[in-house]
This record gives sequence, structure tokens and C-alpha cells, in this order.
Amino acid sequence: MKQNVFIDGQHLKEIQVVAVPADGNARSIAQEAAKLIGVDAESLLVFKEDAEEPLNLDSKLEGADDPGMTHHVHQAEKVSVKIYYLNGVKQRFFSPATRIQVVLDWAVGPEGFNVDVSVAPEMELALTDKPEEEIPRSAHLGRYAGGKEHEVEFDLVRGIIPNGAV
Amino acid sequence: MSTLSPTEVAVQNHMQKASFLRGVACGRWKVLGFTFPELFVQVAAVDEHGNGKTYAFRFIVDGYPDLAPDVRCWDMATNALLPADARPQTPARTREAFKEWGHGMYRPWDRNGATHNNWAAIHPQLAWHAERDLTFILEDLHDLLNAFTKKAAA
Repeated sequence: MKQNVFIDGQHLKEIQVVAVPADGNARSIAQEAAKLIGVDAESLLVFKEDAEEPLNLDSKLEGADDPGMTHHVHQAEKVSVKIYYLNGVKQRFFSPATRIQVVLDWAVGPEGFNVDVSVAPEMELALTDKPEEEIPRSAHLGRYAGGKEHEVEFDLVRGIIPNGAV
Repeated sequence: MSTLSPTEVAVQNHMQKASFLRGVACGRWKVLGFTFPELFVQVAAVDEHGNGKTYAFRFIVDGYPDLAPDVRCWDMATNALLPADARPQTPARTREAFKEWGHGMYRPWDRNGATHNNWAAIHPQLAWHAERDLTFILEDLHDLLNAFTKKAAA
């Protein structure tokens, strides 16, 4: 018996599904993900979504009761994030399994740029070196951090599109 | 036996992609019906007071994916445009996206938005092209409808 598991991870442009044994473990995910990513399975860490620490590769898979459960696969345990806003910059490390929504919440919050609460819901993140790339808030941070780079830079921008219509 | 057009096949294939299915599995959106060229999808929302609700959208998908869908905020009960005063009003970027301007959604990925104000060039991260898929639009709609909610994109 196999079960399908959603994964996000380095070098993945979007969510993927891998089929692993129903009684499999985190290593099963790493082995299947490695085929998609093109790296050695032994070099991959496996995280649950938003988890700070990777799973023990021998740990049994959980989340059978959560059909949307998404794991993350990455070679890095931490990713350095720099965020630029106005004339300032903030930096901290996140797990690569962190959703962009969580990074954005930090960036607009008191530990970040403490953006006024009336403006905070308007804010978005854009990749500093690829502003044309859409950044879904459900995406995992590690998707944007290459295996050996382990760092991502974002601009914090106001997402509103100016009125230009009737 | 019916034969699906290449456009219908493309839509069906995109609805089978992992990124789309994950959104369904997480309860972020669900398909209400698909009779080519009309696709109806419901997207989950949380307002500024923390109240959960849903909004329906009609996608016209003829020419998909070369041609961007024409996306309208829809009232399934009357099978017509959702009245402007029933659409989300906050925050400002969401209100702008949902405003009535005589066309579809006020976004660069919409069929009518692509050529509006040179948006495709000014906002390439939100512009439609043939490599995009339905999930790209649904992700943006979900983000717009959950702007107040931390961890909204779970």
C-alpha cells in the first residue's frame, strides 16, 4: 500500500506529490523527493510544515488524518532571511519549512518592522533579485533558497495595485 | 462518447496537479462545477473580525491556458455577478481587486486586466502567461481573502 504525500522543497517550483509506503517513514519521503530534486537522498532533511527542526528520518509518518499535510525537503536546516523595507533591513534564521505567511507575519510584526496595523494587511514579500516571481503565502521558504545558498532576500512591499480604472 | 477539447483537457489536467489538490485538501478552495467553458470555484475567506466565509468565482476558460481566464466574483444562488456591496471591502488591496469596473477581477492575471494600464509589464509577478495555471489565480484570491489572518495560508 502506498500513500500520497504533498511536499515542497528546494528547487521545486510548486507543490509536488510523492508516493511512499503507507507504513513508511521520513526517509521514504527523502528518497522519493531526491528523485525529483536531483540530489542525494542522504543529503536531504525532512520537515513537517512550519516545523523548526527536521524529523528523525526513522520516524513514522504522521498526518494520515490531515489530507493537506505537507512536508518539506531541503539540504539546509536553517535559511538566513534578510528583509528590506524603506531604509532598513532585518535578518533572522528560519527553518526552510516555514511558510511565507509566517515570514511575512514576522516582517510586519514587532520583531520585524512593526508596520502599522492598518497597513500591515496590505504588505507582501517580493524576492529582491526576482521581483517578477509570484510568492504564494502558502509556499515554503526553502523553495526560494538553493541547496548551498541557504539565504533569501526579500523586499517588503505594499501589495495594493493603484486605482487606474473607471 | 464525448471528446474533450484540448482546452478542456488542459483545465482538467491542472485540476489534478498537486498544487491544486493540496488547496482542496486544506479546504482553501473547492470546485463547485465545471461545464466548459464555465468553471465555478469557491474560495475560503476570513474577514477582519475573524469570521470565516466563502466566495464563489466563475472562471471562463475558453482558450486556456494561452488565454487568461475571465474571472468574476459570483453569486451561485442567482447565477449572476455578486453585487459589489456584498464583496469584501477590506483591506484596500482586496477591495480594489474585487471592485466593479465592468470587467472581471481587477487583477493583472484576469483576461481583461492583462491589457489594462500596461499591467502585464508593470506587475509581471501577477501577470498571466501560458505557463500559469488555475492554482496561480486561486493562490492570489486566497491571499486577498485572508489578508488579516496569521497562518491563513495553512
